[in-house]
Parts: sequence; structure tokens; C-alpha cells
Amino acid sequence: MPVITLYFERLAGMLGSEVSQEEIVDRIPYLGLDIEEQTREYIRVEYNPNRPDYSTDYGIARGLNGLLDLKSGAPHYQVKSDKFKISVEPNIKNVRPFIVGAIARDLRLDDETIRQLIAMQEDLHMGIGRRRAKVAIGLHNLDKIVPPLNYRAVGADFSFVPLGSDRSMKIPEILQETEPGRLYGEIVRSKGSYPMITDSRGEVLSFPPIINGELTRLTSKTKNLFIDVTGTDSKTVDDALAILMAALHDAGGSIYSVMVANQDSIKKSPDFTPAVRSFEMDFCNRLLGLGLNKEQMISNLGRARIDAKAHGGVIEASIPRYRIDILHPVDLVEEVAIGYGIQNFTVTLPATVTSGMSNATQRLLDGIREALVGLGMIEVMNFNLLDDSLLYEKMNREGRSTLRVEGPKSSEHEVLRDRLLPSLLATLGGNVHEEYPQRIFEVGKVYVKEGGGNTATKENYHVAAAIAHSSANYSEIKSAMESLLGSGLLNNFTFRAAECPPFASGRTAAVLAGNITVGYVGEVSPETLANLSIKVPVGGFEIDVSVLPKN
Amino acid sequence: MSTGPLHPLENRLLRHLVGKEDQTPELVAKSTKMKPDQVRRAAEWLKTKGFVESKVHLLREIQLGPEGVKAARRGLPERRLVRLVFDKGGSMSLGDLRKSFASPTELNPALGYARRRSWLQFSQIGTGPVVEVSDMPRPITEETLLERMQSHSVEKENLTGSEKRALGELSTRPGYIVEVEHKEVLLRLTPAGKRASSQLVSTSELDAITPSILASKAWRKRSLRAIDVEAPAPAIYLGKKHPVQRFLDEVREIFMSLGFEEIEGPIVQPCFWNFDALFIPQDHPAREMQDTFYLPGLQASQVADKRIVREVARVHHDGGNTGSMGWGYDWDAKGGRRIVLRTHTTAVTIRYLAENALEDGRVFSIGKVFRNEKVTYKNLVEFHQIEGIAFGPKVSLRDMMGLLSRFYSRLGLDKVKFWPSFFPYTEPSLQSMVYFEKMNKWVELCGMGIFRPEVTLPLGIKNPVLAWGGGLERLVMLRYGVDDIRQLYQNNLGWLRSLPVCL
Repeated sequence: MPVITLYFERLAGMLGSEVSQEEIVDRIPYLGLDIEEQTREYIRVEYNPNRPDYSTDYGIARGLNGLLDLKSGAPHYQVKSDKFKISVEPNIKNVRPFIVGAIARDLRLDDETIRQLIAMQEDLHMGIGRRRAKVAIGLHNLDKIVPPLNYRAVGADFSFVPLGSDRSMKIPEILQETEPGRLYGEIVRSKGSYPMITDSRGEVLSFPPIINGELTRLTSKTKNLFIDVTGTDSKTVDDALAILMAALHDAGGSIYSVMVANQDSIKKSPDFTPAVRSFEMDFCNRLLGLGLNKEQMISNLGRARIDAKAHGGVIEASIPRYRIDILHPVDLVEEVAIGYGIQNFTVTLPATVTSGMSNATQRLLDGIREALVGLGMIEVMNFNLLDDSLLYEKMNREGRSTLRVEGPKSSEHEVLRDRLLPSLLATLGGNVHEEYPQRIFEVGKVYVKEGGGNTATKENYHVAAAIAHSSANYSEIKSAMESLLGSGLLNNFTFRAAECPPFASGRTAAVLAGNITVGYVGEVSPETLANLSIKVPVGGFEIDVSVLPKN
Repeated sequence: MSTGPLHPLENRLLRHLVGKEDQTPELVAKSTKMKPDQVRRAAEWLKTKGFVESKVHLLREIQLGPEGVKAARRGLPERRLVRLVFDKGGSMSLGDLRKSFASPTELNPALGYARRRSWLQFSQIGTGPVVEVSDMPRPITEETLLERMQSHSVEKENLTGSEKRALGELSTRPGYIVEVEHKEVLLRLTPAGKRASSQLVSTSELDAITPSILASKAWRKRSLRAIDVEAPAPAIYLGKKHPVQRFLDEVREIFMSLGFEEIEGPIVQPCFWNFDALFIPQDHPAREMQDTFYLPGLQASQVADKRIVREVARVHHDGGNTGSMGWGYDWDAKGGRRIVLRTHTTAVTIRYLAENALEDGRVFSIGKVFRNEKVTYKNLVEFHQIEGIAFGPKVSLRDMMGLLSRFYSRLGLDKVKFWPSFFPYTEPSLQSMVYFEKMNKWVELCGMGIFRPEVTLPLGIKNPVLAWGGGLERLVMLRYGVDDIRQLYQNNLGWLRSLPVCL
């Protein structure tokens, strides 16, 4: 989850009164932020991805102002109109159809403010922007631009000087040679043409979602900004712009709207009109277990920086545009809880009486554990995801696993196990320096492919055991298996000579309940023992608990 | 010198040596029925304890040579000669004798010895000398000595005067007698040993309780020998459950004591139950392959009832009838059929709620969940999640905080903090932290929330559902003092054997 740095000195400036560091640190968690690191000068906090408005210290200060009772209700944003225009050409429609923009004037961009804005831009790109595929943001020095702007799709021959370069480059070159080109080129490459924002002179502001032009580079002397937001989803580009402009407003900028002209419509952006949503007080009180009256509801929402009024038993909330996380009345209920203060909740227990109960399968597995522990065996637990070679090659089994996961970050976890015994033998192989005799068992799930159904696979509980010491043999492991089966697992069973690697030929039996094979028992073949560097004989068995007939 | 109880072998040797001097181990072995090796070992132990001393004695022993052995077996040559003549009627010509005597080379010496012993006479009859024997002579000392030496070693010093003379006579014959020198260990008690032996009360203690002793009731007359009960015994290892399983059992018990019923379900799940039914949009970052394990090439044929699938599609699109705005996109049914390893047990609990139209209740599930992560000291690819849910017409956020507090307190964790958090499928959502006295630190554990209406309503669940969940391994690590999560599943037998069972 994203992490941002908050300097106490900057926060003090934003909180508008004397607030101690202790108070800040104390309240931060009750905004839903996790403190990751704390020093004298700053704290680093992690915010949840549903609150991209917390991606700068300006956003967090808005929240703190509410919880600390310094400010109440929604902040209001004044937007002045500007004639600045962006013309959108129809040929962009199938490439990256949506663009909005805004202007912020009279900013004082010190280094930390620039850093905060860039971090915010990056967080928005990664989060709601879905790695720039859905939304990308460009920040530009307004004074270098001669409006109106033009947004269109261009061919691969198009060239300009990208940010950080001193020469003009063609698009394929940019995608290949610049870092953002390599990281995000995939988003545009398949379309055949490329989004481009140019000004009235034809100079390039941005090649979204890849890179800006060198022309509009920001410096600490930049006072006036133009912001473009492009993307594939109309609502999300508006969301991103609102979040960004609220922060620039709080940073001291004067916000101006621009006109976005499509072929058949003109719209102004940014749009700060709050969304209005209602909920029933009763719904809220029942969910929270509280009995708040309407004044308390309204003041709690105010502390969460939301305006509200009451109509009978209904609260009507007016939600600032930068809050993109309020989808349902239940989200407002949480705002009431946050305004109330989670630390102020006393706990209760549900009035209903219920009776606890264990699960039949788990009871059976627990009986198996008890039986095997009674035989002096130690339970081990191995992973469900294993390395293919352990399951097949090292066990001398034909074929390979069919249940393989896509793109595992570790090759030791690439396939779902279809047997337990291989892991048990690997465990013995990892314990050759430990005292013998070694007696181990495992109870767990194994997986096989099975077409269709709900999950396209079948999961069965198995139990497997292995005994290793210098005179371990078939008869000892068979005794153990028989005493387990005879402990209530299976009343009637027969043994029949069988072949089943990794057991040695001539030392393997299938265990049958009637005609159904429920497991195997045998001495592990010397070849497998050698594969796992085990230097003593090993007897083992494995039972498919799921196929056992009910006794 | 503190010596502790004596070993039974020491005991027997000590007892045997009382009042005896200079006993060789062989001698002791013979009369005590101990094995010579046992005597030697017991003697060594007693020497270390200062109870026995030994000295080395040089012995000259005489043994039969090859000719001596032959003579002992067949008789002296002169005896054989005399018997031959005697058996032939008491007289034989020298010529016949030469022909009949078994070993011609010995004939002359035999004649010499026999004549010297006056066992025969020579007479001249007709053409040649004739040997005459009138009576079989009685055995002589040389012969008895030979016979004895056949089965016993003999020491020169112990021979009688006549035996010494006989030995002297035999030694003159080539190959009859060899003399061997060897060392002999002589054991005897030291003064301390004598004192110790006087404290050995009974000479007939029982070494062990055996079936035959029990049957014969010998234990009534003989007491049981004291053994070194403080001596180390060989290690044997307990069979036991895995520590994670043990902890899991404990958590199960707590859930049940709080009125929760256990449910379980598949680890392999269609995206529908792992994500879509939980209102996680299809382009949500958590669904990417970087975080979630997909099983390529597999597809569920049907994920749920058609009505449910339709409602879920609607809620993603525009919120349907739930009062939500939805995510504003067209949900793709095919994406819902893709197969993943569940990333949380909520895939199971939500499906249970959808398939069992229950008014109120409490259920829990514990099981493996999977994340495509790099394995480190604090991250595993698969780990256990515990999850409890409680639902009913009147359950509230405060109830959830109460249930979780009770759950923690059953684990011995009484200080709990809550604060707001976020999960895609719950609202309100909280995070909790508990205080561990032993380590004097707060540890973040379970997250919780009330399922969003966008989750419950499309599945036909009418009442609010409280849910909390968290990883199990963290708690196991704190319980067993483990700081590298990987250790839990390395199955090192030394570690597993060392873990306490009684906690």
C-alpha cells in the first residue's frame, strides 16, 4: 500500500493553530492511516487505496483539521473560468478517448511541495490510474504554453523532444529509449497510433500516458501550472483531476477551469460539484450499535469533512468531489463512525445465543493425528505448492504435474501437490543429521484436475507417514498403517501387490476397501532415497481419506 | 570418593574377591560364571573406584610339543612297543618287531627306554635276538603328566618332585615339551574395597524383575538391587502434533467456545467467489498475476446460480438494487470463471452464506490462503488465515469489536486497540492491534468489517454480516518465540522434538 511522508513543520502550517506533534501522531491512526516510521521531523504513514485524496499532506491535513475540531464540514473550492481550450479530435476515440484539464495560478512551489505533488501524481498513476492504463496525469509550466491545445492521435513518425532529452525523437525511439517508454509503452503500442497533446504552435506538451515534452518542464520557479488528465474512463479522469486540484488549491493556488471541446459537446473541468447522497439514521445507528440523534450525526460527518442536513429520519450528505470512495450509504455510516471516533466505541456482544460446533471432516483428521501421534510419530506440515521435480522426477514417477500456477515468484512453489509422500521424503532428506529412528506424518490436501465443475479441480484430504532408521522395513510400516486403519478409519481392507513409485518394485502393496484403492504402502526405492540423500531405509504409506467408505 | 551404587558386575566381582588373594580374571570367571570379559570390565571399574588393585605376575608355563601331543594321545613309544610284544604272546624276534612297529624310526629309542625301565629282556634264540615281555608295566609318572598336560596347562612351580623328574626326562626327548612365558593379572581387594564389600548386605539381590521371578515369588526373599537412578538414560522422542496444528486446535476451541461453528471449503476457487462476489472490480490491482496465483487453462463451468451471477454483474456495473453506484464497468462473466488459489478464506465464508439462507448465526473457517510473493523471513507464499463471521438482524460494529475482544482475551491478550481501515468488501472496516506483555509491544493482528451491501444483497443475504480475519502464523511465532516465519514449515526434526507439549 502507498506510503507518504508528513513533515510536522508543514503540517503545523496547514492545521492553522497550535497543534502538538503528540496530538497529530495520536490522531493519525483514527483517520485510517498506519504509522510506518516516526522521527523528530516527520512521520511516514500508509494510506488505504480507497483514499487517493490522502496521497499528499494537504489531503491528510484536511482530515486532521476535522478530527481535531479545527475545521468542520466540507472544504469549499472556488473555481474561476478561463478561456483556455482543449480541442479533442475524433481520431483519439479508440486510442485514449478522455481528457480533462485545469489551471492553478500563483503557486509557490518549494522543493517539498514539488516532491509531494510528484509523489501524488505517481500514487494516482499506480492506484486509480491502474499503472497509467486507465489514467495518466501531466503537470506543465503554463507559461510555456500557447493555447488552445489540441488532443489527437498521431502516427509513429511523429517526433518531439521528450522530457529529459536534448533532441527530438520519434515515437518508437521514445518507447524504446526512455524509461517511461519501456515501462508503459505496452499501453499504447497495440493501438497503432499515439495520443499527443500539442499547443497552438504544434509544440508538444505531452505524449500520454508515457512522457511530457521538455518544453513544459517544472522548476521551483514555476508559478502557474497547467494539468492534463487523460484516460480510458471518463469518471476516473474526473476523479483524478478533482483530487489533484483540491491539493493544488490547498497548496495556495488559484484554480481556473478550462474548456474541453469534443466534436459535439463542450465541458468545463475541473468540476467540484459535490455528490449528494442520503441514508437513514436508523440504518446507521443499527449498523454501528449507537443511538445518535441528528445533530450528532451531522456533527460527526462534519468532523469527517462532509456537509450534512437532516430531513426527518434521513440524513442528506453533500460529499466533496475529491472523495471518490463513497459508493453507498454504508460508506457514509463509516464516516459517521470516524467522526464519532473509533476509540470512543465501547464494545458489546450480539444478543443472540449460538452453539459452537466443530466440523466433521476436521474431527476425522484430528482422530488420524491422534492415532499417529500415539504411534510415536511427529506431525510435519509442508506446502501445497511444490517444485515439480520433487513430485515426479525425484519420485521416479512418469509425467509431470498438471496443476501449475502462472508466473510464480519462487520456483519452489510452482505446482499443486498430488501426493503428500514426496514432501515427507524431502523432510527426511533435510533431517539426515538428526537422530534416528525418524517417524513422521502429514495430513493435508492434494489436488487433481477435474474438468468443469465449480473449481475445475478436485481436492482430497490425504494422510501419509514415513519411518526411517537403519532397519526400517515393509513390515514395520505395514503394521503402522494397519493400526491406523484399524483405529476406526476402515473396518475391512486387503493388501494386494502393486507398483507405485516411489515405492520399490516387489515391496509395494495397494490397500483396498472392496474394489477401491484407498492407499499404498511400501519400502521407498533406493533410487528415490539416493535422489534425496537419505542414507537409511524408509517405509512409507499414503491413504486417500476422502475415498474411504463411511464406517 | 563418592562412587554411587555399584554395577551388578562390580558387585559380583567385589563379593567374589572377599577373603581371596591374587585371583586371575580367568579364575574369577570360572567360579562366578561371569564371562572373562565381564570380569575384566568390572575389575577396571573397581580399580577406578579404588576398590581393587591388580599386579602382574610372570608365569612360566610348560606345554606339550608336537611329539609330546602324539605321545600323550598314543602312548609313549616304549609303552607301545611293550604292548605290541605283550599282545603277541610275550616274545617277538627283533626282525618281526622291526616289521610290525608302527614307526620304525622310534624303534631304537623305544627299545632303549623300555630296557632301561626293565620292561623287557633280550634273549638269543636260534638265529637272532628275541624281545620278551613278561607282564604289562604299570603307568609311570611321565605318562600321567603327559595325559594331564593334554587338557591342562601346567606350571613348573606347582609340580611334585617326581613330576619334576619326569618332566626332566620328557624334556630330553625332542619335540615333547615347550616352555612358554606369559603374564598373568592378579586381582585383590584394596582396604577400601574390603570396606565396600562389607557393606554389600545381601549376596542374593534381584537384578531385575522378571516374569520368572514374579512367578516364583522370589522377590519375597530377595530384595531388588539398587541401580544408579541418577544416571542418564537414552533419549526417546515423543510423537506430537505440529506446532501450527496445535495452535490451530487452540483457535478452533476458542471459536467454538464463543458459539461459532466450523465450515470449510475448497482452496482452489473461481475468481467469482474469490473476487467478484466480494465486489472487487475486475481491474483491481490485487487481482493481478503479480499477487494472485492463477491456474492457467482451467475454467469453472458454472460458478453459481444464474440469478446470483446476474446480480453480481449488475452490482459491479451500476450497483443494481443495492443502493450503490457500482464500479461503472461491464463485468465479464468469463473473468469470473478463471481459477485461482484462494487469496482469503472469505471465498469460502461468503459462498456458505450465499448457499445457506440463514437468519442469524456464527461460523468460522481456518485454512490455507495463497499470495504470489517472494518468500522472506516475514512472508510466505501460503499461510493460514483464521476468519470468524457473525450475522443476524441486529448485529453491529460494536458487537464485532466485542466478539473480537473476547476472542483475543481467550488467547490471553487483554489489551486491544481498534482504528479505521479499509477492505474492498467491508464497510465500515477496522484494524486491530493487541498488546503482548511478554515482549512489551503492540502487534497488529486481525482486520475486520461489516460486509458491504454490494456483497450481501446480490447473494440474497439480508442481514448484516460481521467478519474478521487474520494470519495464524504471526500468533504461532509469538507463542514459540520464532522470528523467521519460514522456520515454521522447515520441519526441522530437532526443533520439532524440542518443542513443549504441555503448555
